[in-house]
Amino acid sequence: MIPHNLVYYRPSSLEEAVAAYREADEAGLDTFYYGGGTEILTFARRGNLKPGAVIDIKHIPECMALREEGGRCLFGAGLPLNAVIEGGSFPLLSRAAVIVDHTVRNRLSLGGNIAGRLPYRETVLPFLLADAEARLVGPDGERGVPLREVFDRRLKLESGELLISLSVPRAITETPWFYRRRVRKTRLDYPVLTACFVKVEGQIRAATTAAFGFPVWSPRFDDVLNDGAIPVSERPARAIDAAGLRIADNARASAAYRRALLESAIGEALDALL
Amino acid sequence: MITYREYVALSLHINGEDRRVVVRPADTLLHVLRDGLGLTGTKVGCENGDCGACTVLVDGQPVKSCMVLAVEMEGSEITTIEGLHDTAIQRAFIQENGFQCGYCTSGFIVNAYALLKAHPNPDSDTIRTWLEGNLCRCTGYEGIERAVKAV
Repeated sequence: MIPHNLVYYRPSSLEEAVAAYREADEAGLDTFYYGGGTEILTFARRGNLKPGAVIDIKHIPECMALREEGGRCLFGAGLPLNAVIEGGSFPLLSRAAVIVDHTVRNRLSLGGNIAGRLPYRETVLPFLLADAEARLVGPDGERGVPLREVFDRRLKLESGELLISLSVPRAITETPWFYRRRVRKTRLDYPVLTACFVKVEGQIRAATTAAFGFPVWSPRFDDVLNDGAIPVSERPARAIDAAGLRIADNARASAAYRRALLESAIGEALDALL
Repeated sequence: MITYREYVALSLHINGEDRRVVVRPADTLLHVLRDGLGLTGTKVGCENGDCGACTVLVDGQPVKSCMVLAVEMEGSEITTIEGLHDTAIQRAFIQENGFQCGYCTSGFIVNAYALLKAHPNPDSDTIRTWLEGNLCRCTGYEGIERAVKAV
């Protein structure tokens, strides 16, 4: 049970959603755009979050889009992960979205996984690799930006801004890919490593989460993976070093263990994609 | 735009009936089903989305009712364990000893019912994928898997 009350908004358009945010914000309420609610409600029950207002985006058509248009595959931020998986137009995304359990995936939204507070954000990895464009709307109107420009460890939104959707070029969804997810015990656990790889125009791109504690895509990392002057066997270790980031080290998994898993995953990916 | 601030007189379609209930916007569907409507077959477990004891169907899809606001459910068809009567999966759970203490059973049956609607002859992988969100601390799951396969 959630001990405090909140204001619930159900807009049917982007304009209404932005107006609702403005109204709630001006009333001094801690306001959240709300997709599946899985994270907001469990955090609220535990007292880790005290939302004063939630804005349910599931009745906004643009947030529930799942289609191909203009050579791009479009994914609404309000889609539950099972819809993304079963939509099937982006195989690496369909694989990366297999997190938590099947029942929760009927609610957990794509936007919630990417813009929520839990640090793993596994579904952002395929988008970081696929030249994704993020559609955003906020008090200053609607805009489309390359995802990499607004994602650094987390999605960097302006106050009151909503992630509407993400789109990727159709051609990239059809490129060779490789995926590894490692957990401590069962596949329902949070990951100790998730790594995604694609090969686009002969070049391997990698993105990973959990190893460093947050999603990472690094051009320095990719440069090493594709550097023909470096023996293939040395590239995993040197790519990790090139990223220049501290590997997470906690009770879930030690830094040494995560590094070994990541080196192994990179080695497997290079074997599969080179 | 619909806005709910304080108490709301909500109309929910549950187990084929229209039910009226007064809720707070912050009330979870689980809380409203049990304490507002007396549908106590839906069980309180972890209230954290982990155990599946509170699973109900929303428009035919299994959902953990502890992770849903009741106000989100307007216009949806909700099915709880009370809405299932002498179904094949219920009979199979009895026949195959798919339960012991019974606390998790309503969540398992509701989820398995939806699984069998979607996949009438599921293989073991499909059964495990669909039911992995339900925990049972008694049976070791074998009777549950046998029950699903027996339908």
